[in-house]
Formats: sequence, structure tokens, C-alpha cells
Amino acid sequence: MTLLTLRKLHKWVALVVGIQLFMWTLSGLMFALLKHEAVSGEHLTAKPQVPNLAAEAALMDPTAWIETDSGRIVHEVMLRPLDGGWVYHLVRDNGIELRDAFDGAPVVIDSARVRRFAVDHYRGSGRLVGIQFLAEPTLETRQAGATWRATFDDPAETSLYFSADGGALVATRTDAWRVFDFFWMLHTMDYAGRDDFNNPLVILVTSASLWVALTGVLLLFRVFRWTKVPPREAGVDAEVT
Amino acid sequence: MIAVRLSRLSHKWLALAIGVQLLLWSVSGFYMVVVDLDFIHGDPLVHNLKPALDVSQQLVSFDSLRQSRSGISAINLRALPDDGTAVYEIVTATGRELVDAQTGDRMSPLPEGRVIELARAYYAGNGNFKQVTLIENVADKPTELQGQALPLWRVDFDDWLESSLYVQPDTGRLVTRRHRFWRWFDFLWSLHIMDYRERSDVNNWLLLVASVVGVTTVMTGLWLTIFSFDFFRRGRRKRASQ
Repeated sequence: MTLLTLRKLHKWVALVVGIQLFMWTLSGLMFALLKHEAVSGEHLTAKPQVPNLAAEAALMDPTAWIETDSGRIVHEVMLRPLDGGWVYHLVRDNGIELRDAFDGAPVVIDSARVRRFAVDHYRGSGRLVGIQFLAEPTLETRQAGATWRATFDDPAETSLYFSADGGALVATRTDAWRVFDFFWMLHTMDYAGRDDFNNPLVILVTSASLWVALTGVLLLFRVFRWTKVPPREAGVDAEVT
Repeated sequence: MIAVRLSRLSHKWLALAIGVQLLLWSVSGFYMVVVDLDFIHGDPLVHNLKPALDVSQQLVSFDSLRQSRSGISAINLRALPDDGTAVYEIVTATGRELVDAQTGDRMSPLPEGRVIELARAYYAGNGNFKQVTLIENVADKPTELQGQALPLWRVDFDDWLESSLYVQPDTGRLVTRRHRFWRWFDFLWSLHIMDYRERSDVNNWLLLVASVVGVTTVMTGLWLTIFSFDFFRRGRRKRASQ
């Protein structure tokens, strides 16, 4: 392959994918720069203390509810702490059901309860400034389904998301995460959902950029002459800028 | 013409420094985008087992379990996927314990034979059971287990994907699965993020320096590209008249 052809091939494809190559290296740089701890917000939350089960009153027997609801299959019954007490968390075919472990009353995740969840989980320096119900998942919750959002006024603008059916903390989002996620979108080229990096656009542009990198590395062998080149050939190369 | 020469010179020398890594980023990135991520995760390799809980038999009560143990943080009642045995998984500060829900007998740690049966139930591939290994020490922990807690049983199958299912001895749960293409992905991922040991730390100095050089190389390349196209004809005509 002549230097001219190689240079042309590298150049034309580079023009098409150059912008995206810039986006990839820039977003890659951002991933290296943004501290993992700030992005994950892992130090902003902690699991609330587990109340001592041994000291509590007698537990109800949840198997009765399974039998009476025989039409709806139960896969799992979890006794777990929630909101300072204990609940039975029933995983059914059609969703989750929460019941108080001592009196069997249905447990509803409402704004008052989410307010307590938020305060019990949060370890940052801000104050709770807002509680909001989100019926549909957002970019900040991805596949989490319906959630409650608790917003804090700390410098990271932290939001904690609790699942609307089970009350579990499903996401911690900070400004560092939001910046990271924006560049993640540029990196994966999935401008809608951000997480699908098997999309046709990114496959196409990656193929092209692989071509650019490959012809580029081949060019390196040609433009750096480690052996003596006859002056005539050097002159020809200078012509084809 | 100084700008043209400068853009070409800088692009050339920067590319010499970072060229191989740019190629590695492209090759590893190419693999990641063309191979379906669900396949890499091994989703088609296992059944999504959610056996129904059978409570027609008399079970040991949650309340009696509570009274016989301290420091409980959760108790889960579910069915094991191989034969549907109802079990309690009791989570305490010191670990997890599996109890037969009908007899109340302790089942954990599960013996080798039971682990193989469970792995066979989870496995959806077309290979046969090959071998089983108990991994207890951190020294014996394969890198593909990443941050997973030990001990774990590794159950290998003889399919062409070289599938391995990892089963937890104290719960019988399938914690993860690995196969040939996952292992390639993970190797290429280490090249992509330039963390060659843990393969998970994106905040490393090498990657930071390489991406600064990388982004500069691409910028000078774009600069060069602009000259190559806009000034291509004019530049040649000028030189020809010189």
C-alpha cells in the first residue's frame, strides 16, 4: 500500500469519525478524572441500624397469607427490617407485597415513611428539602420502576431514590454522577437510555474508528523512517500533502 | 503553512506515543459493542428460576427461628430450585445459614453433591457437568470472581463456552457465571481501562495520562483533517507554483 493511499484512507474516515473519537477520548478522560467515590455517592448513605428482633413481640405466621391467596404464586417471603420495625416482604408473580411482621397490616410506602427512610439512610451534610413520587423510571433511576425521590441541599445536590413497592434504597445520585452519566452517554452513543452500547450507531462508528486507528498505526511505520530513504521517494511524499 | 506543518508534526509525534493504546482502545471497544452484553453476562446460560413456594406442609415458624438465634438481620423463606425443598436462609452479623423449613435441620454448608445438583438445575446450556471445586482461600480466588465473598463452589461444564457457575455453599444461590466470551471481555476491559491487575479501577494514573495524550492526539488529528480538506488543493497549487 502506498503512503498516499494509506494517508487518504486514514484521512477520509478520520474526518467522519474524528468528532466521535474526540468524544470518546474526552469522556474517557472524564471517567479517569471523576473520583469513583464521588460518582457512586457510597459515603453519603449507610444502612439504618437493625432493630433487635429477639426483643420484639411474637411474629405472625405469614404462611397463612400464602395459602389464602393460592391463586397468586409466592416465590419468596422475606422477614426484613423496615422503617424501625420488621416487615414480611412477599415476592409474588405480580409484584411485591409488604405486611407488618407483628400485626399483619399491609404496609404502604407513603411520603411520611419515605421522609423517615431518607433521614435514616443519609450520612451527608445537607438537609432534606423535598420528597417526590415518580410513577415512571427516569434517567436517574434507570430500570428501578416507580420510585420516591428524596432531595438534599448538600453541595453534591444528592438525591436518594427509594422503590415505591419495597421501600429499598435503589439509587444515590450526585452531581458527579450526573456529569459522569452525561459523558457515559457520549461514550456509549446511546442518547436515549445511555446504557445500551450494542446499538447500531456505536457499532458503525467503532468499526470506522478501528479503521482509523489501524491505518494510523500503519502510517506511523511509514512517516517515521528508521531506514535511509532514497531522496527521490522522499520528494514524492512531500508532494502529496 | 506553519499551522499545517505544526498540526502534522504534533499529530505524528503524539500518535507515536499513544498509537498502540489508541489501537487497543479501538480493538477492545469494538469487541464490547459487537458482542451482545446480555450474552456476555451469561443470561442465556442459566434458567431464570423462580420456583413457587409450597407451604402445604407444616413449616417451622419464623417466630421459633427468631427465638433460637440472636443478631438476625433478615430471614428469607424460599424453595431450592433442584427439588423444591422449602428453606429458610437466616442472615446474621456473622453470616448466612440455611435451614430445612420442614424439619428445622441445618443444611449449610451444602455438600458437594447438592451443589452439583443445584448447578445442574441452574444451567441452561447443552454441556455436561465436568468438575467441581471449592474455593475457600483468597490465594486461590480466580480474578473472574472480582469482589465476590468466599467461600464459593465453582462448577464447570464441558460446553464449548467453558461455562463455570459459582454457587454459594451457605445459601445454594447462584452468585455468578463465567464463560469464554466473558473472560475475553474482561481481558479487553482491562486493556481498555488500563488497570491490568484488579481490572476495575478507572481512576488510575496511567489511564489519566494516556487519555490526556489521547484526547490531544485526536484534537491535533482533527486540526490536521481540517487542513487536509480545506487547504488541500490550494496548498498543492501554491507549492507547485513555487
